[in-house]
Amino acid sequence: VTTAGATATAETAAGRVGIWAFLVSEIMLFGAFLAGYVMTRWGSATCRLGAPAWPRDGHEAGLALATLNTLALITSSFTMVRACLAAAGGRDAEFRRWLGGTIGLGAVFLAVKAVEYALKISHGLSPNGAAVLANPGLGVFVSYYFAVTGLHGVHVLAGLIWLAALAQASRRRGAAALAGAVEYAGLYWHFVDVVWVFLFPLFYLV
Amino acid sequence: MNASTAAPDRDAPAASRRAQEARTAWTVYASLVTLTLLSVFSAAAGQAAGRVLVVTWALALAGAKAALIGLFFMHLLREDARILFLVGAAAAAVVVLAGGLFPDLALRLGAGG
Repeated sequence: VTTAGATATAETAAGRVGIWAFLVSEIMLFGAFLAGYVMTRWGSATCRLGAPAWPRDGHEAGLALATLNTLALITSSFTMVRACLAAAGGRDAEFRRWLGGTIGLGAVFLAVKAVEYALKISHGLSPNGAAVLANPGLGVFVSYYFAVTGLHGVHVLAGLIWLAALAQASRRRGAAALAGAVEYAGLYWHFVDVVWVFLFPLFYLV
Repeated sequence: MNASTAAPDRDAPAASRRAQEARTAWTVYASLVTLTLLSVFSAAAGQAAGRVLVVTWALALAGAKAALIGLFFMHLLREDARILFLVGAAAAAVVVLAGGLFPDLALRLGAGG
């Protein structure tokens, strides 16, 4: 192993520790929100945990959109793995194809989420909406829904910006030179997927 | 051995490993899709089973999906000890802090909440 190679390997290892330390802080952030959410719903007379809290109006459409989004995000995690493998192998065209797929699926996630928000608001299911004002106990659930899924959406958007920057950089430097950076972005993207894996049942199925 | 033949020889194990990872990724992806569809259909079918069972089952399926992503896509299966310690400490902290809420939960359940 050359000195330059050893240095690059050490930098990548240090970078992985760094990105994991960041993800650990994110685990604590989302963990606190979700623990508060579970406790609030468990004790609520209006939106008890154990059955979907959404009123019947628009719930099935919301569930269909959320399921579509879950499949989109899971698929984007798969395409991200393939992008990482292509970058490690120095296959530029393949890397851009898989990374483009990941970015596209992330954009689909945000677009579907926007449609779903519009649907909820049209049914009066916003913190100040008619359905919530008529049923005050539901307000806590709806507020948690917008706060936590909104926070998650911001993370998806940040990930998309990161991936787009990598796609742009790969045109100048080639995928192989970015393999370490792609791995860090991949870890972040998979984490965003893991968070959604828990939000999906908690907000739509139980 | 000259440089032109040495490079492919050195890269061959890495390329083979990447091909194996690509095959594993397909299997993990198929499992994730299956678990997602199972969670949707079982939630709809299982509402009569009781809230504790419904919530536990939904979270167990979510945990299985998170484990697949963490172990295979995020490579925790072959990660070094420092990172495993970091993640383990965070997971333990979440469990301990969330566990601290359970006395209140038990109190509410005991009061019929």
